[in-house]
Amino acid sequence: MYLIFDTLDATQVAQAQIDSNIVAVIAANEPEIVSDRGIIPRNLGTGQLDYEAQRTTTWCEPIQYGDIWYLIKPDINHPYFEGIDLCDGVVGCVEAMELPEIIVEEDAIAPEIIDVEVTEETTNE
Amino acid sequence: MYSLPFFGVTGGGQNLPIPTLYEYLETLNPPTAVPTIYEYLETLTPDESIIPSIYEYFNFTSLAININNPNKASSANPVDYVFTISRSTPRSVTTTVNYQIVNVFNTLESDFVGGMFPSGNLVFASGETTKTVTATIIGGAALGKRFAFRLLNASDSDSGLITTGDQIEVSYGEVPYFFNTVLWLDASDINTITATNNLISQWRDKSGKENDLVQATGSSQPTYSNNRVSFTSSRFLQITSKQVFANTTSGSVFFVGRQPTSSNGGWGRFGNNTTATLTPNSSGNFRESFLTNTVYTLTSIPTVPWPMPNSIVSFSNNGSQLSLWRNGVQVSSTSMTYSIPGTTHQRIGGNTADFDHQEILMFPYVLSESDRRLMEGYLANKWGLTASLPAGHPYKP
Repeated sequence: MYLIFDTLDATQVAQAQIDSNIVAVIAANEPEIVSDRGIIPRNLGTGQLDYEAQRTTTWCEPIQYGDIWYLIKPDINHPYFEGIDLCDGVVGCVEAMELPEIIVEEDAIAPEIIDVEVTEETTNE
Repeated sequence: MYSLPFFGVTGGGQNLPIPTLYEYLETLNPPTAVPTIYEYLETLTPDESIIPSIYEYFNFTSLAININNPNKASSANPVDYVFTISRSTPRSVTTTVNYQIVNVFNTLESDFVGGMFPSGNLVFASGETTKTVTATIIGGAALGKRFAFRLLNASDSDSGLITTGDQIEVSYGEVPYFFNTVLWLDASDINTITATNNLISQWRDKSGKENDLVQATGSSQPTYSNNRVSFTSSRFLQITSKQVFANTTSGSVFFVGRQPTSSNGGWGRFGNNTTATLTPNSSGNFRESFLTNTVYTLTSIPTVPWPMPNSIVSFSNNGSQLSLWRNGVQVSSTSMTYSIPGTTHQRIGGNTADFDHQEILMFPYVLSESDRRLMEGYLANKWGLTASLPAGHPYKP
């Protein structure tokens, strides 16, 4: 599900609102993992907070697609977020199930593709 | 009289000609012709009938070692290594063989049951051609290690001591530590993964190069489940702080993973083309741009299944040739031009990806065939894929 906006400014406002909503939920359950530099991850092996590891700083960066901007609608599969509308307060967008085509990343260009037929190179070792 | 003739020493102040060996032997036994080896053997064994043939003489001491199970290049414990020692021909005599296990690299006595390196004697009874020795490893998970099973000496009951020096080496543990890797991601080592609600923000590099892959954006973070990290077109990890491949003109990548769905899902992007490299598509072909500017379509022979089940896949790029293997079988290769990826082109997942990764290894060079097979064996043993290796692969059980 996507949240589609007309402008980057509107997308950034929505981004901040969503992040605020998510942080509020996490802070209500695990306040120790919230810091001003992002959500502190846990080591999967030890379960301990890893203060040196990459933190989660936002739910979604604004993505440009043609003339529009969009965010991926928050959908976090965790009990903390059950029944909570993480888009509360987000305005100025249209929700859509799919974008017209495949997601194009910011640096994507048409690939140069060479078809190489190899018929005699196979070896069964 | 000749004095130290073989060293060319002069005698009596004059240079004397150095005799041939035959001439010298004649001086030691003047009236008798020098015997042949066969004649000499006859003098040692009165009963001519038991004189061995030349073939028997040079072969009855021959001992060979085979290892029943392949190198268990994994961290599983305990692991039994069964060595089979064979006598070259059935013989009516007994042969006693002394063996021992010795350290080659990092192996400790405490790695073995009993806390010491196994050693002992094997006695081949009359007519017996094979004996086995089982060595059980109980340690060694942490590092790549290597030991040697060595035959020290052997003696036949009728002819006495004979010497053998045969040995076979076994690698075990985390063998990537043997190599210079630039990136090593291991989903079985969950201490290397940090996540919030199973969304991964960092997968720590085990190569020692600190090439950790990260993702700060929640909606772009891959997910973890059961020793697998799942990537999609929008969920990826990357390193943008530095180049993983620098100051090199070749490289290799190994990974274990699968395409979970019927899509053209690729494994990642380590090339300057912005399109993700792809595992098999509906035609059973690979599209690959590992360390190149261009996406090459490699026709797979045999056709690789799509979606691809759990497989060991490796690519090598020697600067002019891109080659691909799957489960120890070379699938295809093509000529290409090497290119170090920029810092925005180093991703696992993303773009058109749809892939579950279990382990990823990258090397700043092309591995030799034996090392490639060792890596295949390590990954196959670790991830339960030995049955997928081809017959004759040195690490296939």
